[in-house]
Amino acid sequence: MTGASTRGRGGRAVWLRRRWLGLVGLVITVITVLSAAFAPWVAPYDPLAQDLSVALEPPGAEHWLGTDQLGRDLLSRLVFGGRVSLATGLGSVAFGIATGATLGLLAGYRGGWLDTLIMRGCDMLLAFPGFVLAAAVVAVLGPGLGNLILAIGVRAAPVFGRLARNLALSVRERPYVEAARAVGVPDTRILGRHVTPNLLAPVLALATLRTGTGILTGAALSFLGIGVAAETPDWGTMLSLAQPYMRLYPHLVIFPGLAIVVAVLGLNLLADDVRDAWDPRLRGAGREV
Amino acid sequence: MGRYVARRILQLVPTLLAVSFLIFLMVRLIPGDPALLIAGENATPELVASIRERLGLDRPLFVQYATYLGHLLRGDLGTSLRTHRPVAEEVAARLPATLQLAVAAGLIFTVLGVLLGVAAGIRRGHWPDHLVRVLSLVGVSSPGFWIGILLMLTFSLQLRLLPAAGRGTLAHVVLPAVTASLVGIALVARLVRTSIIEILGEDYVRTAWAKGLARPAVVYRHVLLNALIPAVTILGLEFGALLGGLVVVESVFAWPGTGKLLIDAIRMRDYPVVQSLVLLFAFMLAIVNLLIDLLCGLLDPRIRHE
Repeated sequence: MTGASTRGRGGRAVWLRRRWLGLVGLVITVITVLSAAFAPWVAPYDPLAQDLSVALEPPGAEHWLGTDQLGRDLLSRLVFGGRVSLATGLGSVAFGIATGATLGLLAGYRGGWLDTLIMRGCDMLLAFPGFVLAAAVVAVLGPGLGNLILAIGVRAAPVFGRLARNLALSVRERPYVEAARAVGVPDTRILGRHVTPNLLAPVLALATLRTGTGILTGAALSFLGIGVAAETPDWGTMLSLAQPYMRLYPHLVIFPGLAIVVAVLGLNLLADDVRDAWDPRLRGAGREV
Repeated sequence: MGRYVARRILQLVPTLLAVSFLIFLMVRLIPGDPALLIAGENATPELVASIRERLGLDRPLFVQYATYLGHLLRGDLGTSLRTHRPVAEEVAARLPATLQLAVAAGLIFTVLGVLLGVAAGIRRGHWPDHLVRVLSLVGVSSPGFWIGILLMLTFSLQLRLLPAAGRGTLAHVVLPAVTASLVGIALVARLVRTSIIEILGEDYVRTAWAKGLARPAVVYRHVLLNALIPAVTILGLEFGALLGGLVVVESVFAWPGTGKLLIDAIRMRDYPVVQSLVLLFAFMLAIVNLLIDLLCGLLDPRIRHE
């Protein structure tokens, strides 16, 4: 009896030692998502409310992380900035999956000229440095959150496309898929019941990774003044606006940067864990800026 | 080797054609009249008319593309809307700065990355190994522009050791080059570490140990060179990320190169410049991948006879 319980505890200890980093990533990500989702309740102040009498205050009891050049509460702006970052990351990944993974699935399952056509399209998009492609799409569409999401999504699409295509190609040859085809199950049903479920885990791992990439790319574009509008509380624009004041008020550039690092680190740790647990093929695919 | 080189160079042609077509479509995808867009908001009707004629907007799309390609091949990239100078001149003037920064960053991350990677791979589980792991995790999670800002804040604004922005003396290169190389260091170190660990498990390395070779002989003669080939290949795949990082770093440090020009041109909606630079970066990526393939073919005969 004691033996069994010891084994149980030992097993848990080993599990924890192997996956504690993933757990840390999960906790960080959950906190990021919750604080962004409930931003109006989490943030102590209105992120847009200016109060010049308290401008450029260092971190303190009133304003935990201090205030910016217009007297706006830094912590509140960071909490609301998380909404923009997550929208960019998740939105671009959703676009990448909806277009790239779907087309890739079709390409891998159907093969033939459709496969060639879709994959050449992917190659074409992947021939650009990722950040440059996103910047070019922004140049075409103009600034704004929606266009930013689309620009980063266009970049993510071929990455999902390739993964989905290769997976679908290997699943297509499996006996149970061939059996289903042999007894006359329609293609749409085979895709839905037999092929897509095999894609979920690897696509989820890549999605987690690319959410972090999307946040980094979005922050860089906003920092450079071609992402979201300057008034929007966003981690990238906050860093760009704070630059003239940073020598005397370094907290203005330290905290927004830390917010980005922590959020992306959380996603990367989580992605590593998902990848190690389910799919070791994704090692190393992710960084753009 | 000659046939391998020729084949790889020929493979470049369809890629570049596809890329140039996409860039050609770029301006035409923008809602509204492309001629008006390219001419800018305060353009005279004559300018708009001349641009319309240059682009051949009344002719079929593929004729327009052929015209565009013809201009490109003659080195005619159009005229900048902001400076009214030929784009080719503008780009050529900025290119040396970008190359200087790229070479400096490349040197730093190759040397440091390989050293760290080898140290981590050979002595697995010791401190260099842990350092590489933490570095690569933090490296892929932090925005390059923020690291640049922190370095500028510390070394230029606080300690006043190095210039904060611009290009001129050798000291100007240090901060942007270090910033641009950080991702590369993390990347190279991790790749070299992984491939060293893989090679250490190979039969011929075990044989080398078994016949009593000294540690340096095994490491240098049997492990290092073989470990570099996979590392170099993967680095080629990540070169796009390094180029993207360069674009951002140039803007942070007001480094007068092509990356800063690209961002400025996007802000000003100077489309001829944006188109040319996007093409240039795709071209650089293709060339680097070509060079890496050739290098691997040179190092490993199996690759060129595939």
